[in-house]
Amino acid sequence: MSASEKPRQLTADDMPLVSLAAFVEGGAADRAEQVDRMRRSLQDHDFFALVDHGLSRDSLEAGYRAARDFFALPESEKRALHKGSGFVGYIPFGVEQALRGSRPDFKELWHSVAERAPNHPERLARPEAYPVNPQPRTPREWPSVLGALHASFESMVDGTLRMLSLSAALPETWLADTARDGPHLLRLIHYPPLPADSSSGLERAVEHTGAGILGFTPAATSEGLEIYSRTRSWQRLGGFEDAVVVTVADMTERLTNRKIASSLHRVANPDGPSSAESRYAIVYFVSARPSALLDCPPEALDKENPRLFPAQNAWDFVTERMTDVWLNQASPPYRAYFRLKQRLKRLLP
Amino acid sequence: MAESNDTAPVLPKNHWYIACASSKLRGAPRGVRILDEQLVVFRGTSGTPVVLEDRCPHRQAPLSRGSLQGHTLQCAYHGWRFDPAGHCVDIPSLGAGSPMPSGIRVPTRTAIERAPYIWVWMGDGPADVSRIPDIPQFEDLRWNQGTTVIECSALTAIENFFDPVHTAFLHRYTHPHFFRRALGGATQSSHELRATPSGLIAFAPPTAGADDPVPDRPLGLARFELPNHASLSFSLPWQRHHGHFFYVPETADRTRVEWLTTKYLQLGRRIRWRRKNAVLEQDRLLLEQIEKWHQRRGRSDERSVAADAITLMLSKILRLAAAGQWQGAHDSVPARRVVHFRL
Repeated sequence: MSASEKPRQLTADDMPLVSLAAFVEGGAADRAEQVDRMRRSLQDHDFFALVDHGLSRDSLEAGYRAARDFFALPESEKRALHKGSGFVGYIPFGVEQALRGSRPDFKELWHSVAERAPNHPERLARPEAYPVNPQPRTPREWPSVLGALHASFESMVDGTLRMLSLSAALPETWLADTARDGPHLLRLIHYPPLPADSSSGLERAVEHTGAGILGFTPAATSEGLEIYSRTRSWQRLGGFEDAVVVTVADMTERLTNRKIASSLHRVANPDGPSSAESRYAIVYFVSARPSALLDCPPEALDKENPRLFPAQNAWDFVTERMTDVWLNQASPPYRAYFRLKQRLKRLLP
Repeated sequence: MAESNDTAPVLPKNHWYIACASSKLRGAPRGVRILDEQLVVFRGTSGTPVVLEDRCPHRQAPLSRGSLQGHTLQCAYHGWRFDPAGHCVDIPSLGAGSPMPSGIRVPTRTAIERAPYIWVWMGDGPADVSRIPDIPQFEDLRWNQGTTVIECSALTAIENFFDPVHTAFLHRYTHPHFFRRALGGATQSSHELRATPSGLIAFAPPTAGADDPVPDRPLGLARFELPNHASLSFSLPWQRHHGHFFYVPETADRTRVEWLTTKYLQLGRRIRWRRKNAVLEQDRLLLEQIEKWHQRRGRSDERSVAADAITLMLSKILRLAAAGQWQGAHDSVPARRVVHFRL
């Protein structure tokens, strides 16, 4: 699994593509066919790719244009949109680090969370899961472009999750119910050109798995995404321009007792002339409702497959994960002090 | 009629009830009792409340005496650990390699935190989050909050809340009505009563006719929402005063009143925890005595007068609701009534 391992090339022709429209609108035979395709691609490649997904080329292009304009703004203007404690808005270089990473990834991001009505029960119960998105003053079309992207991605969530539940022979709405009206996150990423000498040790994104339920990854402005398959090792994706690559994240693993395993993925540093170019990517993370319980249905348990994970509240899971990542970056004495403090706090009435 | 009056009705189960105040659940788990069910409340690692039955399936030890290990709860007796879905995830006495027995599970209840309370769904069907009682203007005002446990049935306590006359006599030196009567003497007063699909509203002064809507800001208003939410608001010369009282029946003859009232001066911290409420303490002393009479003699020979119309109507609504008949039968209670009495 090391970075030195040579990944094998994987194109869209090498794997069965899953048609979302055929599943949502089709008859029983169509549905079964798509579910089977999804099951096979998960088995062989540990991810799947959606076609007929309803995300238009235009809105994606508009997203990349807006991202280019935004990330080209002066540093001070972007920093003003960085909320130190929150997870929405601008996230500068040197903040995000993968759980297994030894240093932060070389990228800057924009996060915007799906908007829900102010009196939405989930939002009332856990307001911090649905913060108000900051809006940059330029580019002017920012709110409409991001709104359109949010809407197209959100319309894909229910059908995809139904298919995914069926592909693991679980009740159809098991995953979809958990994700309904969750704080889904739209992420725009800018990977800047890498410095010419490779001794800097900077990496675009080291191997990681997502924390949510799914990650929708439409084609970025250049290649580089690599996904690990348990049977075929690292595979470098190319030629998925019209498909949306979907990676499975850790909540799904818990909701299905690892009948569906997380997709380990990374963004490799390019070699040759393309390393002098910026790479832009748009990703949509589907997350569970903060009040949902991450537990597997009885169908996922039997003699050979005992329970792997204790049930846990979804927001607890997210917070614990964020705390782990953050503690990973802290110094060892502070880490010990923080753990002790946490333990003492739990004993007090 | 006399028979059914003798036993106090049990409040309906299909509702959200308060487990405890948010600020009173910090670290260790807490045992609470609601409608004769013994429950344990604790928080997950991000503060999400979890409610389980307060009974370890092993030797029936109360889990509320246990401790938190990450997001799981460890029983104090033999160290079994349970996750928020109630599954047993660890039995320390099992040797390495011996399999976990499957299917050990503590019953759970749905809990949700909506400031300033942790709510538990006590019904049997799926929880309906939209039915959590709303506390208007909670974010905008400063409040006193507290809990008073009264050894009486929930009906007796709720009736006491809606009794308009007792305030001037029982609440000596603690209630505005007492001072008004002491300084200005008794005055004639009229209240209007209206039955609503979810309870009743009483307010003063009355409107001219049944078609008039309930005024926005009457001088005084008391509202009852099934199953146990009593609220009041009245105008003071410098502000509008609000109070919310949730009567949580712990057992048939023990009621926990979770109360929240606006501060008379909107100063200081936003929510102040008060150990006692002077008015409720006066009520408590009397109600506990009254409850003893209820148990000894029943309530069939109580004498009532015109001013008791509100409490009589309320007790009828609660009896219908307890029997599950209120939804279809709220026309059996007069929709509007004006009551006159001296206060």
